Amino acid sequence: MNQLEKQKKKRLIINLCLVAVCIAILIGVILADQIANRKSDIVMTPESAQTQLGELLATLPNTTADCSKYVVEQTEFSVLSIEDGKAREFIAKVKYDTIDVAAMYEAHKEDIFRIAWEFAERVKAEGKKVNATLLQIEVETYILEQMESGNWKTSGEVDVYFYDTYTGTPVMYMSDDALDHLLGGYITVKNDISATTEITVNGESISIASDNTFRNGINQCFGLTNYDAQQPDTSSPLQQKWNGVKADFHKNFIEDNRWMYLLEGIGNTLALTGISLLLGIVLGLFTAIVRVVFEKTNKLYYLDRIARLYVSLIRGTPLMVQLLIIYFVLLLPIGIEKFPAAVLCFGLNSGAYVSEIIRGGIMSVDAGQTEAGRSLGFNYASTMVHIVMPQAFKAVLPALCNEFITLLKETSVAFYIGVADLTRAGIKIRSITYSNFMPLVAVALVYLVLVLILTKLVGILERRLRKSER
Amino acid sequence: MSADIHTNQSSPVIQVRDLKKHYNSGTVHALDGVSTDIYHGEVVVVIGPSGSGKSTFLRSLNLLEEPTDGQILVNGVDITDKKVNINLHRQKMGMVFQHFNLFPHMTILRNMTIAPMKLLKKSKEDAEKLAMELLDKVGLADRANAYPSQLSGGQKQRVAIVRALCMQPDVMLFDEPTSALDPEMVGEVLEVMKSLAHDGMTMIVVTHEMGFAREVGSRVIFMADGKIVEEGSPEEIFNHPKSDRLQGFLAKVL
Repeated sequence: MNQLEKQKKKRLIINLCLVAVCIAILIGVILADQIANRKSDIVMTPESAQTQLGELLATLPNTTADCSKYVVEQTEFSVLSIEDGKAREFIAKVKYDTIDVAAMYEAHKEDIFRIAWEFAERVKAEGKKVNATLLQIEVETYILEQMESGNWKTSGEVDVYFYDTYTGTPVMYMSDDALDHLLGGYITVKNDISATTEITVNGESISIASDNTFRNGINQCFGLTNYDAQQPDTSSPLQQKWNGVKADFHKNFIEDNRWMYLLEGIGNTLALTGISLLLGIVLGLFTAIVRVVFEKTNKLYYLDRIARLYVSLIRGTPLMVQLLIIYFVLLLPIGIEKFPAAVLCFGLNSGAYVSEIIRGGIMSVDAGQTEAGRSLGFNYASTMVHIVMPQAFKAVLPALCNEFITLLKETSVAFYIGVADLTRAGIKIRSITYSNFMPLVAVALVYLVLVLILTKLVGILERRLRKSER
Repeated sequence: MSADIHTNQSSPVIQVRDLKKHYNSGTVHALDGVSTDIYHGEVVVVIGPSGSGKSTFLRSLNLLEEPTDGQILVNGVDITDKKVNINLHRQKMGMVFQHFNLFPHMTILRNMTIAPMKLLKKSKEDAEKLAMELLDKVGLADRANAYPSQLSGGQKQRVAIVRALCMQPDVMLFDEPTSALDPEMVGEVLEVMKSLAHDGMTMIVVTHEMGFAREVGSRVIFMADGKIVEEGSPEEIFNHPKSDRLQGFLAKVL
């Protein structure tokens, strides 16, 4: 007793030590991550910010759009100050002076659309097709004229963000909103053109909802067709890893409901295993009885030979080869589907193993039980049915459940003939997303969870059986 | 009881004629020409050293061992004949084993009623009524719904005896019924067998209990080397043994 307590104490201490080590490692990792994510040591000056911003603006407008060139040329800006933001983030306060594109557009919107519409009608009347570039050229002159003639000036202040992404120079990020301000409502205008589905020409309302060429033509006057910035990730290395995992998870399982493949796979795998096991039990029971009857009474010689051949054929060849032969050689030529073929293969396969289990169970029942049954006047068959089989079945039930678990895992080769089982679900996702880690590990985890649940159930069953014997 | 023996002596229940059992293609002779008659109401006790063939002899009587040669006539019918339905004969011959052989997956009551219900087509009520009566006689009525594993060895053997009795057999065969019991449990089983003998049951008992043989046996058979060496009343066998073998055997066991 004392010895046992000592051992318990010792184990407790070791376990506590292990937990402490784990916590220490975790704290270490988090600390390291925090240190790695310390404040940036890059010195950011207003001048460098100004240069970068200038470079961006120079590359932004679509070169074919004169209006955008004009706006950029007219835009003046100066970086007032640099402030530190969150981790590794700099905020540049930028003062700008630019053309109020939005106000100009508001004032001349009807004219712009009308001019474009009349041009389009004219082209159509000549029997030609309306072309977005021609529309742009036609309307752009008018827009440029309005910008130059009117006093469309606006100014203000906007925040531009820079991030230290460990590459040496900070990466600039400008939100759509900031860009919109900086260029006098440029993006607002583009969005409005895209959203306009109805115009009024000479008091008449005209729908242009389906006329994409028309709207594109006007939109192109304002350039900036492909501006798309992504906010740089300045989170800590650990966080970045985590974000990567999250994105990977999303891509593999959430996007396009790809988890449905897994769900379908689980269903098919369970169905395949369940039906195969039923078939296997029926076959195994029959085979076991034939062999036991032969062993004990010397009857059923030929059936016993067949049973032995069956068991040694199945046990002597790889499951995968059996599957390929049964499907491609035997069943495909007579037009039998994959799923029933797989069921037949796994049923035949597990039948051979189940027969050995059941045979062992029958043999494990004491010969005295048979003698007692026979001495009461039961014939051989009734003795089997009423006395031997119930005991044998009880004895082998846990082994049968384990066979079920084994079979569950073995059905994973069914993907080879194209059954949409769990393994194939993983392979399918993998082929779509080109990820290896997520889909394959997910498949393994699902198998593991299924097996753990089944093992637990078998344990409960076993305990129940033992209890009823006491 | 002696009157019973005399009135039935003209018609033996079982006649054993030159029974032989060979193993290993004739090299081992477990039974080497055994002949005897067993009459209604007799309590025949078979004794002998181990390996003498007494268990084989007993088990041959209901063909749990198939004899190599010879005849066993039960009420005049040769049961070694392949055409005879041995199952019907076994119903009339109860057997009690050394290791009880109760069915562990059934309650005591179910152990006792399954054969009458399945084989004699008795109703559940009738079978259970008889079973409870018999259990009551051996003092185990309160254990009817227990499982065999919950009983002691002596209780198990008493249940095994009444299980056989549930088929209302003509003859009871006992194969060393007390050999696997703890000494303090032997008595309770022998009591049941005694009362069974007093009720006039025809019994053939293989045993090492010489006291039982002497007290209850109406005839004692001494076997050695697969042969009946001597048989007679307990008085003759135990007090006036003739052969050297029997004298030697008794010297060792008494």
